[in-house]
Amino acid sequence: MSATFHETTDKLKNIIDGLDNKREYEFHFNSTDGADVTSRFGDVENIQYHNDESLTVTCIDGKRKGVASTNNLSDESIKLTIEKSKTIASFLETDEHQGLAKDNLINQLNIDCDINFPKTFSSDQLIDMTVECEKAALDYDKRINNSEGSEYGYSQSNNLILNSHGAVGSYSSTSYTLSCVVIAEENGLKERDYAYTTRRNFEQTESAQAIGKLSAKKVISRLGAKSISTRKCPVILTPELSVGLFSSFLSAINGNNIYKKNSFLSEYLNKQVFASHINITEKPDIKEGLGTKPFDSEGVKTSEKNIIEGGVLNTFLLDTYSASQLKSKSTGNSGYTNILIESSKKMLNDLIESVDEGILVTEMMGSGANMLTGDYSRGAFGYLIEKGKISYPVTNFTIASNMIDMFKNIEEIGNDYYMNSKIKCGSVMIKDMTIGGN
Amino acid sequence: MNIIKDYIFEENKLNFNKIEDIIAESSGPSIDLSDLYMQYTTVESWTCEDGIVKSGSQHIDSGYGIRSISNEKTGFSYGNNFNFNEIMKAAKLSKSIIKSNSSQSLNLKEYSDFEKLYISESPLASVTDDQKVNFLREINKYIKGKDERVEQVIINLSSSFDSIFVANSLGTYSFDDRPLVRFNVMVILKSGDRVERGSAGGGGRYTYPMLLDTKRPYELADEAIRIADVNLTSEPCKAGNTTVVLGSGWPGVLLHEAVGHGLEGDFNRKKTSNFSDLIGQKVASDLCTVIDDGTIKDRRGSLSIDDEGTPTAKNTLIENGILKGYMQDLMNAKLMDVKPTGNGRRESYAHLPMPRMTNTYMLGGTSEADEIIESVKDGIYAVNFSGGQVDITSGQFVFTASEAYKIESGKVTNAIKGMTLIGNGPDVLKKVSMVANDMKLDDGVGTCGKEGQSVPVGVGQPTLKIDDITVGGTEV
Repeated sequence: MSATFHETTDKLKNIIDGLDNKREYEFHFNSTDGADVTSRFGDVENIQYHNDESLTVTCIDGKRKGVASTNNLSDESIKLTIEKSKTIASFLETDEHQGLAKDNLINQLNIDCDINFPKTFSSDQLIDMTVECEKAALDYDKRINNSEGSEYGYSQSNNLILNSHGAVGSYSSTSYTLSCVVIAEENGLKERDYAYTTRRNFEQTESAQAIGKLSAKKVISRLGAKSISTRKCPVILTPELSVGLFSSFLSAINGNNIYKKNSFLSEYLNKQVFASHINITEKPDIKEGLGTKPFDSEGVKTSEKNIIEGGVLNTFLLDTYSASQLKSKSTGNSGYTNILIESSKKMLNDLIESVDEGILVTEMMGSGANMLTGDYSRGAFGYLIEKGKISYPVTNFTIASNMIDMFKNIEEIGNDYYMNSKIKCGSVMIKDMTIGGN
Repeated sequence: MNIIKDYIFEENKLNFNKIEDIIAESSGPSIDLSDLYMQYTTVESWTCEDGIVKSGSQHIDSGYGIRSISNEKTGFSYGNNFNFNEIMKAAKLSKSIIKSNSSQSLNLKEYSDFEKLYISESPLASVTDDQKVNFLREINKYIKGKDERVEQVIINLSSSFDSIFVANSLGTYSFDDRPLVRFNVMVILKSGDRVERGSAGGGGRYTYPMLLDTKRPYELADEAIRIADVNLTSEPCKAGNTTVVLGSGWPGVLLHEAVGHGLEGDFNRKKTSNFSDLIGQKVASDLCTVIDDGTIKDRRGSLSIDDEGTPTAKNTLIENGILKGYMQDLMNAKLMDVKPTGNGRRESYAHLPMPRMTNTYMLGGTSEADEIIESVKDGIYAVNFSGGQVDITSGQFVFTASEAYKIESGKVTNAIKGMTLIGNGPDVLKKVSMVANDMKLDDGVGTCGKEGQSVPVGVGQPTLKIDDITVGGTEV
């Protein structure tokens, strides 16, 4: 951790200790440093240096909650921000559920949770990586005739929480990301696709060569896409898209959506949501995990939990406020950490082989997931599967269902885990979805 | 008042000589353009939920960004500390992309005689906090009293005031103050075992009284209830190809995605858009004339000057189906050897400018809206959309309707749910067969995302008919 983060931590601790005890206060401080480099056609295009800090002050005054934030950490500015949070609170109406986290609070600074792997680079090193990555893509096939370039970014973040009930916690983390976007053309039709890798530890990122090649392979396989007729059939979602589907699930069981009745799963606690072979677990302390956190954004310790067991929903994800609304206790889920999606069935190496006629969906577009009703309708790109084999790319179609049905209809999960997300899962096969085509 | 000029400069002992030094440090013989952007933004938000005005927040974000451009290369550095020496360090860093140490001295002149399209006053202070809270309470009471099926109401009132300063190596500097107000209401209705949502909102670049002292918030509340009510009786939507009539106003978001992004200069310089190299060619039906206009007074998408100091303009993108021009910022205009169009925008000092839309709309035609509906035997009438996305390379776009109906034998009948439109921008524009005379701009709630940067925008269009487009739904 940088000296300035230590200094700011000490300063904020002193300030919060000196505040009145008629009100409750929470300080959340975050600082991030890093750089991003983009190269295109073998030459550097952008170099950006980042350096952000922000302090958010929450004040609870007689069950009224005011929030103010600033990115100016001068003594004067901090004072004004605290005053502003008090003023806002004083104008609000009393809400019996307001209150800061009190139980199960973190009490440790500079926690090492194996997600901080600082490394320094010269800008030339970063440029070289992006040039190498893009070159691997451009060299892959002549039909790749354009590029949006390759980008490398790294950052280090420091996170601090303090509250007047004794929460004291901080940790640091790093992140390294390499991506490549290329364009291929055939018969006057253009397609674009991308590949990327993101890790806590630089040593674990996929090589520039591998990412370049993967982006090239993906874009080439899209060429010659045909339209498809309207039908009902099984659908396989790639691991990347499965992550999106499970993140909709996690949002639907977020306490704040539940108490507002703004979720299609609000009546599903202790009920069957997924097929019985599916288990979903939260594991906050995975080494190098993209979601690893020792405490949530309110300073409550995170904990391992079975969210779905045998397809049954065991718990909602609650922060202090939604827990009070639902007459329950915080589950340390003001946010979530690493999520593991597993199947008790044998995981399949290759789901495609098991499909007689269906579609492998590799890209979805649009925001057609209705969290209130569960209605799901999105644009898609993919590949027709015939007799267990990929037949040809298909485009300009939609896939639709209701998430309640989609969850129940997940028949298989692959073991082709997606590594670029805090949600770890493989491909999923959904028994039956409506394809809208021509 | 401009907070940068009146407060930040003074507090940090900055003056125009020092600004000249900073620009000089970031520029040089091999630098085509360098600029310094300073910003001080205050944002507030008040929310009423469960009948209680239970949350309020205020955020202050201030900082500067400095960039140096040489040909297609850009160096960029930003920070929060307005100290002169810190900014000079950032200037050096941004120039380090070019391996040259020589700098260039220059004289800056203020450019200030652009048209001011909005008031230079902070909305945050335009009414008292008590008035904001009372307003939300009143709207909540109005909604609860209006329909007993109301299950949940969430009302949000928010505003921001953005003071900016931009100086560049072309020799000018400018100040601009940008107010922005937004009001949103979301209603959930329950009837039997069905629940549905309706949302509406509005806003613009003004202070609170321009909205709060009118009937508009009540009309928007009525609108949210109406949409939820319509959706309570909606039926599943049939998938396949059909004729679609788009309503006027907000459905222009489709135009924004399907066409607008593909006409941004950066994508066309890099030839990654499927509108690349098509200037002067037919890209839409004769009925389509598409404009991007950043100069409409008080509109959410408008700017007096863009984030590079170029005055915004009314730019014709497509005229009677012919592609006329792209939207440009300084860098892409220079590289494509055209004039900047006033479309250089950035989310904040911490982001690089790029060509972005302002208020994008299609001009009205000669048909009557009723006549268009009557001309459809079997199709869909879509009046509201919840969002969309485009792949600018293939032109593929996707939209999800939040309010849509069947058209049967020339009449609008049952509401349908879970309807998604999918198509290819240029293909769909060529299939526009009727355009009504009812061009309308949206209510002022649009936010556009591109490469991780969000900026406020406006959209608009008349009622129009697309002959054949793919619709997604659950029924076969």
